[in-house]
Amino acid sequence: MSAYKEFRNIQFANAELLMRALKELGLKPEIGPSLILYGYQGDARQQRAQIVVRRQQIGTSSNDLGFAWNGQAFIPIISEYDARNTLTEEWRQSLLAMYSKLAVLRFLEAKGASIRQIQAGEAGIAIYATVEVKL
Amino acid sequence: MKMAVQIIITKDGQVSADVIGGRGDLCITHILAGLEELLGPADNTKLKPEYQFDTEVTAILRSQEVKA
Repeated sequence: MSAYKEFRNIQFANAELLMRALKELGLKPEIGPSLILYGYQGDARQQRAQIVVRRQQIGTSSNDLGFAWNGQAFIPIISEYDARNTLTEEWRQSLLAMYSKLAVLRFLEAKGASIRQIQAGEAGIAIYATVEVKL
Repeated sequence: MKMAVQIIITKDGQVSADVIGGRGDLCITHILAGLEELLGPADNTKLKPEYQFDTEVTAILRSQEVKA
């Protein structure tokens, strides 16, 4: 049985944006007040989360992926097996990058910003905009 | 006041913002405060470059090659 681990160095403040980011990566997350995480054999684990991606979407030997609210942000809960094999650091960074992109675009939209250019490249994404700021 | 803003999202998810010209030093705090609500708490490790915004960080971010 692969133990679950919290990845506290990655935090997501907004549930809707996190759900959208997961969907952009091809996953179908569930949301609920206290969802049970299941292991790869269908065994219920002690861990609970508010946003969950079921193991069948991740890999044949995978465990559920969870995001638990700690009062400030959602923290990923990933099994050691998946952290090494499927939901690797590279995948976690891609989720974070997608979330950040959606968050920045949401922010600019809320500010009524005029987006002049979006450049995507090897290093990441650069967004150029004009924003009305009240000092 | 309308300000030109450049926001960079790196492949590992780090975000930084740069206000170009004008009263950038004052505007940047307003912009970062707004982003914080969506990106996460200030003690979030991944956000350090954003919240430690200063000349040095700006220079590093500007030197990153972003190919269209």
